[in-house]
Amino acid sequence: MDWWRDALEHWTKAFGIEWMLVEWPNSVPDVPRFGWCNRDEAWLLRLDEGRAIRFPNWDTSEQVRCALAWTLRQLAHEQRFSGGRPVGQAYAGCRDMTFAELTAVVAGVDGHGEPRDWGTLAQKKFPGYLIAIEWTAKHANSERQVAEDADIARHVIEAMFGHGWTEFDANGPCLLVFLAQDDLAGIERDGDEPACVGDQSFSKLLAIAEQLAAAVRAEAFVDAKVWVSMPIVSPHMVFSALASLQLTARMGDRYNRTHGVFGEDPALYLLSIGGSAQWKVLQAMLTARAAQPLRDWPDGWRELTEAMIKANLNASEAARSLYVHRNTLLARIERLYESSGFDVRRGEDAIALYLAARFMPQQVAST
Amino acid sequence: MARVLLEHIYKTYSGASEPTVKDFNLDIQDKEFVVFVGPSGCGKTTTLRMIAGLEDITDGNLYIGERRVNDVAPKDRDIAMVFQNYALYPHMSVYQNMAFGLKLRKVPKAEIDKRVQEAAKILDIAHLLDRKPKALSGGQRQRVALGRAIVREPQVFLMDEPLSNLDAKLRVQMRAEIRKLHQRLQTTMIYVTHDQTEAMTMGDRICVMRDGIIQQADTPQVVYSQPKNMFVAGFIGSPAMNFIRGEIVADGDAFYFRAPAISLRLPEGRYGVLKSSGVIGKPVVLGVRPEDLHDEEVFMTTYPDTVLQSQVEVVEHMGSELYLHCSVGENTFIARVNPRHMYHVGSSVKLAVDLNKIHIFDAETEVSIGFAAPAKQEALV
Repeated sequence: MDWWRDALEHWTKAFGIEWMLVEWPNSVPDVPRFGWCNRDEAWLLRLDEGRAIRFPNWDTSEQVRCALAWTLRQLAHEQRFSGGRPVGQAYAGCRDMTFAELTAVVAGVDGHGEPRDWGTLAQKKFPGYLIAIEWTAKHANSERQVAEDADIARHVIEAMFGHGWTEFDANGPCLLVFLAQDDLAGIERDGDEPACVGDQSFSKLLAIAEQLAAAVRAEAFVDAKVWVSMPIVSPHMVFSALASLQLTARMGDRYNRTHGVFGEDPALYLLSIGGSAQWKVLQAMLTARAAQPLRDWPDGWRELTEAMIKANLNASEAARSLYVHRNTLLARIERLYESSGFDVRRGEDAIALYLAARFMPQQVAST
Repeated sequence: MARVLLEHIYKTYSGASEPTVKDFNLDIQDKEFVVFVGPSGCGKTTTLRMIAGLEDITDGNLYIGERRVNDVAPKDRDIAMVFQNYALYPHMSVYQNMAFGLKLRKVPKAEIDKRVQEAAKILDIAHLLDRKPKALSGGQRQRVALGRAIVREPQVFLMDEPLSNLDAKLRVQMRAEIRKLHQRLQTTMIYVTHDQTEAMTMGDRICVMRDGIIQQADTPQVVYSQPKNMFVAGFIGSPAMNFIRGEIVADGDAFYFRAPAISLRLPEGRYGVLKSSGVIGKPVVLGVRPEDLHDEEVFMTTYPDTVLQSQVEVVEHMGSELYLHCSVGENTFIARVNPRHMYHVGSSVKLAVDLNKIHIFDAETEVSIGFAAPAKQEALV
């Protein structure tokens, strides 16, 4: 079986597109391997000297086409995962993708299949994760300063993990790091160890993201943000992992977070994929039983809802976390019920209010 | 060592309709320990980040020492930051962990050694310098994390909820450690927390914030005994201050606070405050702290006009004290009483209000009318 077929099928399935293997047209000699050309209103991707993949009826952005070409190039060992700056460039490409395109790239690649001979890619111990350390270079926009900050971030990585593959992309600026799943064993986190094995890894990744963000901030004095990708089971998933990093970063930025792990907040993702029509309907649904419009709900209702959710709907515990008297909290719950029609002490209502609370910051200001 | 001066500081994020921090004015003296405290989203961390230089200042002036630092890069502000969950590097020894930041800044080896040894001595971890973080207790790790900031010898320490991830016991221990450290280092420290107990126990001054605005900035004693508004009154103190809605009524020569099933004759000494504040005949909120409700017989005999006949709803035994959740008519409140007294849910209890300690707030503006008499402090030595 051809080395490229698995990955290509993942991609085409993700985007719902057709493809066929054709001969590369001799009339277009200047396109390099894994380059694109448009012939007869169809995109052609050059596989090698004589062959190409033709995508009829595929109208997509340049970024998505580049992503596919990048993945195939990786698999063909044309570029090395450990050399040059291919991963950083690919991640930079993700920044220009729409939310829907990123979603499709992430959705299209599953974690199944036996890793085969992946050349230097296999030197990375899969499964693993990609970590992006991003920062804004305030007061210091010189290239030299940015490179110095990256160097400090790289030292923090070495100090944290003892070793590590890193790649710097000055355009972010962003430092990409590969962390093997096995390396998680040496990482400690505060608090009780979760009983579920998957949750153990996940909570360690969350701790790593938080610690890295704090360490880079304190050592380099930059506003570092750290994002962790979905797990990468085999090299053909690398681009999808980059797309998952970008999704995590966008959701984190939207809620002003300093760190995040892919999969940390599925509800937030659901709220991020809707278009304006879906938001209007959601808002209509959330206010269908309300006596007052969303903007007139009592001050602090979002904090109240989040506190109740975190306290497993226990009013006493929520009151403690908000530093208010339990009776004050109960009075606020009543006031919120009178305005919204939702009683946050009831499970289903709490979920609806939670969604509304997540939805509100971006949307309601304009309503 | 430096004074930090914040003058009319504003922070507005792009796209936001309102500033996150509004007209923030605070003069933090050299060697002072100031705590920013408030609920999530009140702007305390944003303010700290502006001091650090991680956030741009939209408007206003920020001085560290004599220098205006609005446009100075964070690394040139001579500050050190300590964050929540700033973990130690697991592959390095304690010495290497503490030296890490200095090494990155290419500080000479001899100078690094001098600073690390000094900091280790201050923190009482000199005997641990060769150990790896795994071999340290939770408290020792926190001290090493502080050591990493100390070796920089900054003018100002900025601490953003550094104890939030610790368990309750270690948090109490580290509170005292940081306080002691401040006394030894004699450096300006700005500390952010959402925990009012931490603020009360650590700060020379505490700055209570809400919605990006300073509500009150004063010593813990003043903030507790003379809160400027209902927010500060409710936020500082645990259990929180009890609030009862009612009105001030003139009856003959006397003034009373009246609410359903409650009538309290107010002390004559404070009539002047009532008259000048213009609250007579208007709705007000009476605030009384749980420890200012008394169940001692002697108190009730001395002040019979202050007794509330109430119903016990919940009894919470805390060991050294007892919290009674009571109701009088529609009003509910908590009293902190002697744990040796026995109470049962559903029984009735008499509680006397210490009227010299009550607070009265304008019901509309929620601002204190200044009814509470200033707390007297007596020097014991």
